[in-house]
Amino acid sequence: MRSVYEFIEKYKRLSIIGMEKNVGKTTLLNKLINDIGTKKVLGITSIGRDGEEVDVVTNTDKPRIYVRQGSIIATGRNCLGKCDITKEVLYVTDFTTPMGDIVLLRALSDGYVDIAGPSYNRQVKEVVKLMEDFGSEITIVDGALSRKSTAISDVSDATILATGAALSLDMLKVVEETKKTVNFLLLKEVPEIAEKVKKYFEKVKALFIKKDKTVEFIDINNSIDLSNKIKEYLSEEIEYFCIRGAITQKIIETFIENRASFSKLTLVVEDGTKFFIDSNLYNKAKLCGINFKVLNEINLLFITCNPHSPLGIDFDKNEFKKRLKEEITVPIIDVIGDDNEVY
Amino acid sequence: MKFIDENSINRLNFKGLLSRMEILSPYGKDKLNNISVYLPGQEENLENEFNQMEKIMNFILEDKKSLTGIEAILHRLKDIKALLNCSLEDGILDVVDLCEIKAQTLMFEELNKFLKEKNEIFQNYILKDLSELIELLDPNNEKIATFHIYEAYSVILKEIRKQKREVEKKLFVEKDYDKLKSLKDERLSILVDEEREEFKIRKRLSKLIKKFAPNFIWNINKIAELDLILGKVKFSKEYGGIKPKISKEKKEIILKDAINIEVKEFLNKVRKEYTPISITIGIGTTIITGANMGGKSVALKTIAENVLLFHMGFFVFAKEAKISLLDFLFFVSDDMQDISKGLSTFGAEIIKLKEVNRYLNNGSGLIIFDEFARGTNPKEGQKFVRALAKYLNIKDSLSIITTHFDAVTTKEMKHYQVVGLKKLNFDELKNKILASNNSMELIQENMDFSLEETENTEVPKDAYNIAKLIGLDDEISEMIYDEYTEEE
Repeated sequence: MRSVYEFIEKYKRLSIIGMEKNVGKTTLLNKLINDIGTKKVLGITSIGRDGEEVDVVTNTDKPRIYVRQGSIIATGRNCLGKCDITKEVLYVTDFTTPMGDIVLLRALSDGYVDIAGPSYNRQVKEVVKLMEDFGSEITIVDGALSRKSTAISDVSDATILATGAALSLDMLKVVEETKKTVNFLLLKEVPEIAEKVKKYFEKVKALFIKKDKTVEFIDINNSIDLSNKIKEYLSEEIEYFCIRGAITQKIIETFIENRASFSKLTLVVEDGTKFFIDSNLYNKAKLCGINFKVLNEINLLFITCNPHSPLGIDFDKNEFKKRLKEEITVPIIDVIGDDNEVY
Repeated sequence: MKFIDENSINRLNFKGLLSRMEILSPYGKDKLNNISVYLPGQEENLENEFNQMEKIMNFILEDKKSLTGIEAILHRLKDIKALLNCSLEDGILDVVDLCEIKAQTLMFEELNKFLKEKNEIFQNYILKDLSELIELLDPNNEKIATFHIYEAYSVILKEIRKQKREVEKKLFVEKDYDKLKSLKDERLSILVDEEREEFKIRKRLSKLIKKFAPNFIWNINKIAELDLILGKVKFSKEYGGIKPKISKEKKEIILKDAINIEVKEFLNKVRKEYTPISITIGIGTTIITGANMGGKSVALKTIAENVLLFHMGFFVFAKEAKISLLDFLFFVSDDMQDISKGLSTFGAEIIKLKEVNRYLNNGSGLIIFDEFARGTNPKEGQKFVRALAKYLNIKDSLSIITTHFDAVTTKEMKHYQVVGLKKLNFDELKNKILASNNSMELIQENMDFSLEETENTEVPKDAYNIAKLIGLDDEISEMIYDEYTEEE
């Protein structure tokens, strides 16, 4: 089996995200653990909790995370019963989660671990830093695309995306969805305004910057209000429209419906995980003169594809890989298949 | 008998005042929330507390580095009292609990080093030695704040873990499915053994910790006291507190240039000057009269707040202060909270008066009435206030009444007046006001808020002047003036 170590060895903080449940994210994680082996001290945590041992939706056994001796993990205190490593307690944080306070452990033996990390960006960052203080040389944050509140780009310097047959029974649809997600993840930064806007985002949810560089804040708290408000502000004068948080169908539709008010503008979002729109709408928005940009570019290392679906219907793994490769420029690896050649 | 009731505390916004304190540990915060007062008979203890604070004040001014060291430790402490109580009740602690106890014990040791170095200042806060507990939780003598069930605790555990590692090594390289399966089963049975042995050890450790729990809790209380006293001293330093004198011979309150922090801060923010107040109050009734807008209520709050701080062992915010320990403190003003219960202002005051009466016969306190009976008709109101003043004057407490009513003060009572606009050239001010469009502000600026003792038993008549200054219509002004002359 081909090692993926060469892809990741340069990075200190990695995140993995899955397109859907059961696309083989844990398998990917175990593969990374294996390939890193004893070459580096590994740290693992997650953003919030990611599922149960048995998938409650499909009733399938899910793989568990198996770490090597010496690894460091950060998990909720109530998960400790499900960790069968010999545990050294390194530090008890005061970050409260539904699974108890986050605790840092060092594995004094190999074994299974159950990971449920903190839910907030700030806490995840803090925990990663603590793990590094205790000696973690490469830290993996297990994330998910659907976690709207966190920005993957903020807690890691490289990302791996997992996709697979669990997404849909229709292979073309899986390829299409994956392609769209990858396009978002690969969106480029706007360095000229990024630092400034990050500062503003600490206080406001939305703002725009006019061509004459003046900044105006929009006073709203949620995306529903936002989609109602956008039309009041759209004008030819706007150069950047910056929105913190999720970009929903409704928001993009509002832009498109009011395309008469502007001919060209750049929509700036935290990062490529914040988009919850389908590819049709995305393409339409681009045609309407909307340019998509992000504050934090995501360094997407590779994509893993899992041809196996928990519903029992598998794709032809070679065809699946081939089609993905045709549409996507990022390397694609089948971590489950015996020969996971890079396409 | 409570020293002060919740309503009075709220009226003074005392909790808001205390929230300005910097308390670092959860133990200290707990202590502050349950702070007790010094009562008559505890003069010695209070004196000791003040002396201790003075010493610490000097230390803080001289040795910032040691202070930072102590503060850094206090800041890291977590509230783990529950774990100690658990061991006292024969509960079994888990590995995270044990880690927390170990980490905190090490912090105690670190803190103790600082305290012992400054023994002459902190001798009352030296912690009890828990080195045996550290030895217990740190069998390899590593002195680091992490913890696991060490193999040093049991030969059996050491053997089990050795087996576990061996199986895991094999597991990692094995490819054959059946062999893998049997290795996994083998590992599982070792896991069960490991867990059982660890449980036995945890049980043993929990039992041993129980022995140390009383001293641990003793240390927690010491740290709470230390954190609180440091907080009090820093608070005093920040806002300019002084060590008050404790009056033991007689019941009295002497304040020179006392301030109310909140009002002062507010005025500073809008660039206004704050006038400190000076007053001497003895047994009997003290009447404060003065112009409208003269700051009588602020004066009362300043007195009450500082007297309360004194009783809680705080330095007082004044240039000089001499206060005696009292049994209770009442602060009665028209109180929205009581009104919301369906009582009128007057009704609420009478209910409070009934309560005050109960206290009066059981000790000596400070009783403050802010414009008692102002809500009822002035003729009757005046009678009420006169009677109240006379009544309180023969009691063993210190009473302050503010009023606008005439002929309340008798020769036996003390009488303070807010200086107000008295010393001002009235016509000059009027011209200034005509030239400006903000009369309120000009009046505030020219108002002398200080208190002045007077032999005069009459109430100053500033209402008419102030109303004129604010710019009351000529027509109605004249009519008011006529009323005045008619009376004369």
